[in-house]
Amino acid sequence: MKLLPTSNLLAAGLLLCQWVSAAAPSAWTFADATLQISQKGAEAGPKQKFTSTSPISDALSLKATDSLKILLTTKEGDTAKRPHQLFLFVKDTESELESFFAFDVKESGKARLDLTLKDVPIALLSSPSLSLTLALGSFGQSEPLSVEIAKVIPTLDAATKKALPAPGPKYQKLNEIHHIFRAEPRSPPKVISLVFLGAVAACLPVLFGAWFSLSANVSHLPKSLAASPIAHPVFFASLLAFEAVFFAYYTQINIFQTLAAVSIISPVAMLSGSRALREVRARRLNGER
Amino acid sequence: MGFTLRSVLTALVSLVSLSQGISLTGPRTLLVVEEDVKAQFQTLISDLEARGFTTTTHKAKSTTLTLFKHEERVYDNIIIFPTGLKGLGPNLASSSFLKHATAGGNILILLPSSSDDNIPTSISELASQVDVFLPPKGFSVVNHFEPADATEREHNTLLVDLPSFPSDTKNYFNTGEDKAAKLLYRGAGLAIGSSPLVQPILKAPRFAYSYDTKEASSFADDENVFSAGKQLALVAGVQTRNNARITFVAGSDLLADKSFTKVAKTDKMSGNRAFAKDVTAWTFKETAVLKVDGIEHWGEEFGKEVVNGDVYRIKHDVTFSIALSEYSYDHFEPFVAPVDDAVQLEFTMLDPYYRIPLPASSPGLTHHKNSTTYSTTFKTPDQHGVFTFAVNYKRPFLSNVHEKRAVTVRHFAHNEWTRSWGISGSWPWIAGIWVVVVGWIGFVGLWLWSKPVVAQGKGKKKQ
Repeated sequence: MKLLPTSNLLAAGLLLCQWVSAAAPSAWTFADATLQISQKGAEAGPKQKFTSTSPISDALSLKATDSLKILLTTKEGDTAKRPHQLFLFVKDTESELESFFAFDVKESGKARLDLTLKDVPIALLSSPSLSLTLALGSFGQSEPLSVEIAKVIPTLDAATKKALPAPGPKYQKLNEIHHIFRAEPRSPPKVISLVFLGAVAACLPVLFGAWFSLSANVSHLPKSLAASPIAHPVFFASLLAFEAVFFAYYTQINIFQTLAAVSIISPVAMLSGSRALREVRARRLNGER
Repeated sequence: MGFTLRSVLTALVSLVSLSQGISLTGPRTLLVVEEDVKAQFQTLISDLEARGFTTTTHKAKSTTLTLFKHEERVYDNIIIFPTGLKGLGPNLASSSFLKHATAGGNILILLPSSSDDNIPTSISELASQVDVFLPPKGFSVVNHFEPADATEREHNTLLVDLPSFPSDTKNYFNTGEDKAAKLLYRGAGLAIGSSPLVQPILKAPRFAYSYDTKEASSFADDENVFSAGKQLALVAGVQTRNNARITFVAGSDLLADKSFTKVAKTDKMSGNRAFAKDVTAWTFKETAVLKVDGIEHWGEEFGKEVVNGDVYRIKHDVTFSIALSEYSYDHFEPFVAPVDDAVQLEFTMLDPYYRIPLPASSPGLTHHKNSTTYSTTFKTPDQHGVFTFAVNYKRPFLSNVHEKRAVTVRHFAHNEWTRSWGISGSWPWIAGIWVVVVGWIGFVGLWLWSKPVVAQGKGKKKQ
């Protein structure tokens, strides 16, 4: 292992350390640890004590403007000493997302960390709960220490939440989308349709009833047939044929077939109609109408 | 015409490479290495040659070295070994690496393990251009929590678990026999940006950190720590949009002969050699390359008589299937998507109307050997227009699949609607028409043949 000249001294120290620790293996730990929450514009809260075996039990609820102050003294075994690493890891409890903050440590082992929640990366702040873990370790053979000291529930106000940037693109499965179809056209209840259908259909007997009560009749039919035996039936049949063609057009045939059929029936209706109406005129002139 | 010629050529090229059983990009590999360094990587190089790569060695400052000849790539793959030099020479500028990647070539970059060695400027430039950030000279990763060797003073040889990924990502970097093997690592680490094109392959252990060995030899303060924990990547892979791959290994010892050894702590072989194979195989496109073997879609209207037709009707069932295979060293095999992942189909007109999973299913109409068929059936939206079947399958480490097929979705033809008598609300109106028809016919009959009763009663009819 090649060593830097400047770190030779350190290496020598470490070797010594190692030699000492080989004789009496020790562990990194901390003492006099307190955590204090202070809110902007308000007095600092009470100092909550914690140790490596008893973390702060209640979850801390922090706003984005609140800050944490952690004070502690690091020790190697029983002697206060500065380790190489003293970090606070802030981890999203539900994912792997994690960030770290290095303490400010004096040679005497007195360590201090001031952490404002707004310094925590935004991706972490938007998570429902965070865990704070102290990691304490150094070169040599002393056991390092990692201990979870508290849980934090970040409470963000609406404005802060709104200001959170959208997460960047990520190659993963995207949310499913299903097309929502327009509602099918609906008919009124069939009963109502049937009632009105009945009402409309009832108009027909009412109409005929009214006509017959006003003494309409078909008594001239034998006379007409006798006078023009071809024209009358053909004219009436051609009218029925028109309606039949229209019915066929409604159900089956197309406009061209309809026009063809109509063009055949029309002259028949014209010729037979003019003959039939001539007979009707004859009756009128005879005073029979 | 040009397109077809090109695809034929591509097919030929892939056939040739298939028969040789090597990387999909090609076998020509450039090693940028000094002689003394090359001696440390004998196993890596011979393992590559055993897999069919042909290597050419050049010194970094070599004047005869050129990456392009007649505007064509001279090499398919490049490995940059650590040199300790501040610059790599005029032919290896960061722009020429980018040009190489743009032309489809792959690059594996091994950064020095020793914090005394320089990182060439062109390498750090290239890194920052692809959203990878290297610490300056002098940084080193330490882990006090699980040192490989407890007696080592610097704690900077790390024992790292083989990579593991979330359940929706396929793990191409843990294919060795011993899944629990530890990796030996020594180096500076790197940080990666938020681009989805960059993926960490190997992350540092949770409490490891990278610090400035000169400035912060006694205490790692805020300013002299580069990164720590899971944010600190040890190996990172970049896949460009054209599927070229650039991998950064932040400590070259990871792939060096001296790491292919027993780990003192576990008394087992380290996983480095298998990991070296996985990393080089991924970088040089021997693994994780997807191929679309076929796309078929058909609809309710014509059934399987008309496959890949141009026109579908609204509100009809349509079936879409895509066959995917995956390259594995020398052959294509069926691609199986991870359980928590899904190949997704989008049915898009400007915006997706559908984004639905394509489950693996029985083969489509055409049976493709060595591929998995993903298919689904859905009802076309009640909106006509030109829609696109799109499969945009982009996942970490896998080569991109982005297939689009445009089809017309027509509205109902005039004779496909419900007839009026089928709509109960219209019954009174239809009845009205027939009442008028019958009433009119009846009126004509009565008008023609009615005998005036009034004239009889009064003896005279008024005109």
